[in-house]
Amino acid sequence: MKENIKNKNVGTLSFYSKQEILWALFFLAPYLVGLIIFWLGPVIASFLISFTKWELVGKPIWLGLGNYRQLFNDELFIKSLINTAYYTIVSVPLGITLSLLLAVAMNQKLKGIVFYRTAFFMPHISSMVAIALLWGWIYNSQYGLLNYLIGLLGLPPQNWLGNPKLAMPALIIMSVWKGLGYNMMIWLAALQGIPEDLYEAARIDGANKWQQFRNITVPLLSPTTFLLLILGIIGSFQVFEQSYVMTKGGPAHATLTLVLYMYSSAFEWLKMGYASAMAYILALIILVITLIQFKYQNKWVHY
Amino acid sequence: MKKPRRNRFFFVLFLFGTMMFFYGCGGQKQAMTQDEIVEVRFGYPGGVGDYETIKNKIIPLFEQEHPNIKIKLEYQPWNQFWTKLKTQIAAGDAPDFWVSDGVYFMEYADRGALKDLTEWVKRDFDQKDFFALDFASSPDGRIWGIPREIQTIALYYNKDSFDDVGLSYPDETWDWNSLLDNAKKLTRDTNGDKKIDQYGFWSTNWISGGWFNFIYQNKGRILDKTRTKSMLDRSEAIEAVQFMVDMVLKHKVSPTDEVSSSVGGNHAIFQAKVVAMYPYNYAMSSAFNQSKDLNYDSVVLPKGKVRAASYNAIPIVINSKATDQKAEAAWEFIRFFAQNETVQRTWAEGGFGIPILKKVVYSKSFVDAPTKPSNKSAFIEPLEEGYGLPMDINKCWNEWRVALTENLSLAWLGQTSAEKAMLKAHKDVQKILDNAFAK
Repeated sequence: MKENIKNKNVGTLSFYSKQEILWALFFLAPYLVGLIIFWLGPVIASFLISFTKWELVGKPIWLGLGNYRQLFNDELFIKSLINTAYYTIVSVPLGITLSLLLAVAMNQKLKGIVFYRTAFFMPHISSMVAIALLWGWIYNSQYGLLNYLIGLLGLPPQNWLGNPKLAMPALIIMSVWKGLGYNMMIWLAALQGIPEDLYEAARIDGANKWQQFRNITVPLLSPTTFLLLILGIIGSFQVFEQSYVMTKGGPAHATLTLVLYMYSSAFEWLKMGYASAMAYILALIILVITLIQFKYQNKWVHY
Repeated sequence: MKKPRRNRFFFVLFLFGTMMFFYGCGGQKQAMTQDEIVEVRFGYPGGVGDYETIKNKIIPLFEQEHPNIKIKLEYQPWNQFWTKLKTQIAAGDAPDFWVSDGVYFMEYADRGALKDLTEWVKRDFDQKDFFALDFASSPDGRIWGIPREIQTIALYYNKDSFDDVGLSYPDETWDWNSLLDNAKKLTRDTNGDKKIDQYGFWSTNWISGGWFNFIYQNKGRILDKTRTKSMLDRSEAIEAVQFMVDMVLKHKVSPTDEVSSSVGGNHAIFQAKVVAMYPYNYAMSSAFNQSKDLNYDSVVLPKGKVRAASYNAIPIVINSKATDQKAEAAWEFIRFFAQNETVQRTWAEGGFGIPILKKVVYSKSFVDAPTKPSNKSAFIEPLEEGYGLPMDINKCWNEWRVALTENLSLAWLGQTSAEKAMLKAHKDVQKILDNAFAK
């Protein structure tokens, strides 16, 4: 009789004795304490600060929804939202598509393929700051590699980082290049999970490579597509280092992203409340987009 | 079975707790045993050169004269210091006194983080012996810091470039027209490759050596006297910016930012003889002097309708939350630094900037020093004649400066007119000011 009751409670706290629970808490304590102090605490504090005007020196003044109202009228904030959306809409699909093609190419048993996979993965593990500095030189309008190369094609040199129309595309190209390796690895793992016999069967039925790709590969990769899309959007909405290191939001605010504006507001202009409100709006936007994606996944994600 | 488990649990808990106790205790300092010695923390942002001088030459001198005060230097490289300072202030743990950038001090003063030094300055300083004592003051006249050194803007010029085309060197009679005429003659192809290799004057989108001077020389203003209202929409200000932009885009006598950055950035273009005339502060001469064959000198900025030149200083400020005892100790150091002749000479000879003690300025330690530029009085004249101007410093200085610079960058790129850029900047800057000073 006792055993039956025990089995019913499996998975709940009551399954464990008091001793075991105490031990569990004891071992979890360092992690939990860190989580509370360094994550939960600031998240709650930031939420509260977003309703105040606080300039780091002096006392916070309660504003209610003042910061949020001000943000909707703030030209720079709107601009940073548009810039960040532009960055996301271009870099995420581009990155996912290119890295898929790369993964298909890397998914061959050629000699030395491991070297190539490693080479493509390297940018991902380098620091964004180092990459940004490097690309700053590539984009240099007088001596940069890129202008030299397009010069060979007969095109005039461009002021990549100084032209408001070209600066964001320049950052996008660099970021996509950096992220290719990581996405490629994930695609590769997913590709290798597709059973060979599906392709065999398709070949027997007379399907060519493109038809195989479209009708077998892509649908079976859809969970990975979903994953990379979500991760990509969440990550790209937080773009910061590229504009901080290369253009500082210029020229003429063309590369001012949301997080960069938030950073400047908080740590350069000491508008802590304002920046906290921005942080929460960012979180809200990402949350809504992610929820929408989850809701519609049934339409196109096949497991 | 339960008893041994419980004992083991509490034993481990006890060990863990003891570990934590000793870990936490490790950072404690020994309490001061001698009540006579006051220890003050001195926040110091800087480069290695000036840090060494302060640490090895000046503080020992001070502690000799004031054996009851101990200075604890808290050093950070210049850029990192400001972020750290802000977090320290937020945590209530800022140093007792620190070296502030001249353009940042109002951020702290206006938010109550600095101690008002007006009374002490009146009591302990004789204005006529010093330059720029009132630099770090708010519009209402209260003084928040004493400058460690001063930086004014003058015009550096390359003598060889002038000799090459047979022009006489710039002098105090120059005005905007002479500047432009000479710049045109100096802008040329020096090696026959059909590309301009040398430009006449460096006209770029910045405040200190750029539009600040031209606007005020044209009898315009950036902010009004209360530093809460923008005056960027006035025609005097717009004309001045137009003049600067024309030098780049219309007359083409100035290198663009691209050209400058491809040569290696700021002072490199002067050292590489890419530009013949270069407005900058005194401290830059230390960098120039590292190029032994750079034949240069300095002269006061050309005048517009009136004379004007921006100046910045590095004030030492005191934490408003410092205890009275520590504030007084900090004040003793600040006084000592400014009034002690040996200290002022040592500092002047380091080449960091213009010292504030007039006696030392007019001596072999500064104006008559054998280093280049020989005409150092070009840097002192704005202070002597009273046309040296701090750059409209207020609590949101950095924010409005960035907004103005970003708007003007479009004019410099030729994508909008100077007037449109200034009018837009006026709106943006006023918004920032209104926000900052809203009650």
